[in-house]
Amino acid sequence: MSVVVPSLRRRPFALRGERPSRASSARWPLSLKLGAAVVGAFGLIALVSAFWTPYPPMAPATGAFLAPPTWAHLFGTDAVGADIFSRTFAATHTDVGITVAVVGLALVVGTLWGSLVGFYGGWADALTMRALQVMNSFPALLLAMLVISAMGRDILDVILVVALIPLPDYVRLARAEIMTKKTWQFAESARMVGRRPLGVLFRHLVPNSTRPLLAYAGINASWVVATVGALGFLGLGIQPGSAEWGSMIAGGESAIVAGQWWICFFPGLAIFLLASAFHLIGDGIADADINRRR
Amino acid sequence: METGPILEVVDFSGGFTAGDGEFTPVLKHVAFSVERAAFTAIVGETGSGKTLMALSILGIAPRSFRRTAGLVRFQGADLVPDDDKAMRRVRGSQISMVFQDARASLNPVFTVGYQISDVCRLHRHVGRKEAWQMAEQMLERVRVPEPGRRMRQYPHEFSGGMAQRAQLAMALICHPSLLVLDEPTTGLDVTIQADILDLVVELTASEGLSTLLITHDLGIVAETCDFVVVMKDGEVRETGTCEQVMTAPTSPYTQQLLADSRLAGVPR
Amino acid sequence: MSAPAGLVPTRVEPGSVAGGDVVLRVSGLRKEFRAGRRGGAKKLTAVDGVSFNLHAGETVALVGESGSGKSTVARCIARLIEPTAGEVVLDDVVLTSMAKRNLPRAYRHLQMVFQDPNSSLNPRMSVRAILEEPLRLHFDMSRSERDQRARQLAEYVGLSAQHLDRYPRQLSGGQRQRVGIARALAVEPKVILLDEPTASLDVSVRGQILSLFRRTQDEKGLAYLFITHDLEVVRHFADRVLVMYLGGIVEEGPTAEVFEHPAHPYTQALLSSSPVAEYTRGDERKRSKRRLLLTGEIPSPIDLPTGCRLVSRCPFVRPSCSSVVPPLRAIRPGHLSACPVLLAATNPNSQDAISFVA
Repeated sequence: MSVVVPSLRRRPFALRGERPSRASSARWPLSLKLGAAVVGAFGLIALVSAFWTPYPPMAPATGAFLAPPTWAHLFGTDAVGADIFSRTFAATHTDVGITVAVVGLALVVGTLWGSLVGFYGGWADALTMRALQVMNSFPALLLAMLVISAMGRDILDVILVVALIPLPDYVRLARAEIMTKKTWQFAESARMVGRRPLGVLFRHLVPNSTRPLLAYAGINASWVVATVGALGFLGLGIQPGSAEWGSMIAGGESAIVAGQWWICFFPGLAIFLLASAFHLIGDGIADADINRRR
Repeated sequence: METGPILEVVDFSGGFTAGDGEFTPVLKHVAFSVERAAFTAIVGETGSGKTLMALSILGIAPRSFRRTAGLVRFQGADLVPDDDKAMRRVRGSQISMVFQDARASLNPVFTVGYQISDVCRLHRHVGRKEAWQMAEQMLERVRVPEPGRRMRQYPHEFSGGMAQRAQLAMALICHPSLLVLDEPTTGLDVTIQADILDLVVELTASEGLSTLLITHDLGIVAETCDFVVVMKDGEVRETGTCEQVMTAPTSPYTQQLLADSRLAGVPR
Repeated sequence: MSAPAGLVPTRVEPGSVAGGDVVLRVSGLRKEFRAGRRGGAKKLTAVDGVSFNLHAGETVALVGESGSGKSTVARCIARLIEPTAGEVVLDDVVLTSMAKRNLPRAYRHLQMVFQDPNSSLNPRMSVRAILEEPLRLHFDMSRSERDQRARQLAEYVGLSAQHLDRYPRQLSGGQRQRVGIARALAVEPKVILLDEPTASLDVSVRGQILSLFRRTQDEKGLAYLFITHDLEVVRHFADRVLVMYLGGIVEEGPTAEVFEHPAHPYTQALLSSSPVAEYTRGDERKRSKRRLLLTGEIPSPIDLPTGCRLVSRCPFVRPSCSSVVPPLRAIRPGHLSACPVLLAATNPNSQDAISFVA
């Protein structure tokens, strides 16, 4: 059923005395660009290494065992002769993949949960806050380690359990954002426009709350990278010997004493760089958010 | 023998320096004077620079603001807003300022009595007890009922209008010669606003105060002021007595402003 | 409702002063909030039994200071807040008894323009998206039709086509408010609730926005409920005025009449306190000489006194004022006041009232 477009007479108005506010210069801070560049590089590596590495990551290379970095083996080789360079690169898609999965899961579930209880309030909200308090009161990482070692080393389990740790923070953040924005007049006007409550929530309130959530996700990702590495180091959750930075470091533990630093160093460097890059992204988004608010 | 205007602003210009070094002029050759024992108003809309001018007089303009030319003369002597040490002696004791949001201008963690008497002790070197009494008297002077009880309360326990009176008390306790009020009644209900303005007018008369009122409301100007300065876009467009400006304005901007305030353009 | 003889109506319009048929009927509207600590044993009565009718083509002003409940009335009418009691009827539809999920449909005929142009627009939506959203939700239009309509709306309120692709942060306060108005007009409603739409705008912009409201009303026969504290705007713009104090209507009537012959102490106080941009010479100038003073404390809305709510501040108070809340009674046809003291005076002329000033 179409509507007759009414006869609105065109009568231009002189905009006397009106001055638009300064156009916001949405300049992304340097930290964000830098972090994004590094993470992008890692992403590229992950992609490429799925198809090609200089040497097969798992198979022992011909010849050199425990060889220091040379032009043939840029990062050196380990006790079984595998090329560290190839192994480090191959491990990228494991570590990056797990991190993205964990953060993605926690972010989506946390935002959904937090937004809904923040919007509707009531008993669900009260229950949620109690549940979050309980979750926060546990030494989460230790619990996670217990669960993983008990349940087995499936990657999916690792992702689920690790995602559970930062989940309360995402829920709280989303909830707080929605509760604040709910009172702003554009939420009321969204209802007057004709949107149902859920429409108001997901099409108006949530899109306006993404910045702080994404900023937190960046910082959280940095923690996840380190934690996944730590779990791998302890041998939890990852098949031993598979390409994963943490377990590579574990593998090179004894070698360090003998002076073969490269086995631990390069995977460790990878963890450090990726974690820092994510942190920069998170910081950058947070700064851009503040600049915009001003 | 004190004659002449109590405050003179002469060819005052200045602007903001952005982070990247770019300079935006905001005040352009502003010149006006505030007469003694009289009520002067600076009228302008948002962006006219009126508040910035008032803050510059007191030397409390934002740090990114730079004066490029002109000066301010207070009681005949040059006032150097950049010299913070000298300005501190002037602020509160000779020139006082009352801000727009009273409750935000009061420190929430100290009692109102403490804050008022603090101003007194800072400039007058009197004992705590004496300052407290003076503060209480001042509160009574600004018509706060039950001043003794109110002295011991915290700012959040004050209503908007009451808090504004407390701010007035704080401003007047050292008997300054010049009182500057920056939109003191914006955000207050109209009946409370009327009360506060009446009070300021009465105090101006009884204490021989010189008052400078910053506002955007021509209605307030018409009812309270003796002299008017009209500003737009950082420039002074017109000055004169209240009667002159309100009944026979010379500047087209003032004429426009008056017409708009009276809703002349709106078809009935 | 016909204008009393000899009284010049604010708007010269063919037909009655009150305009066409009743489009909005509000009866006994009441809103209580729970106040006090945990569990909220105390009640805060924000709106206490408000009733009025709104006719097509008419502007009714709801006037009061902060805490009067005027904004709450508007939100209760739109059911943005659920009223505790009372009935709101829009045309023939009883809004208050509708199922909540059907409310969006009612918003086709009832719209609202909000006070703060900075927070009433979604910062992440372009102007075009803001204007197209109601079209998409209420009408079945093709994309190009929507686009065309959005453009028409923008131009109607005085924006140009290039503003359509801008975001709220790139617009001035006046421009943002125009977007809010265009959005409200998009669905061609019958009633628009205007919640202090010019309060945060400069005077130069205020006149333009009001002219826009007037033009739209003349062309479309809209009914406005104009909520404001600015009496000058009311004088120029409203056909009838309802004066609210602490949740209740204390006086109502045609604008010109209420302004010239206010029949309630609160109205008199409001009128005499509102600054007017006119210069008066000499002694008369000092408002204090002509003002009706309201001394005393405003009662807390949680602990309202029995009887008339103005008792603690009213200069005309009599013992009988505290016994029961005085109802609205007619002084003249169409002009009602809730002050029995002033009503009883044979000629409730404002000059006599002023002579009571301390």
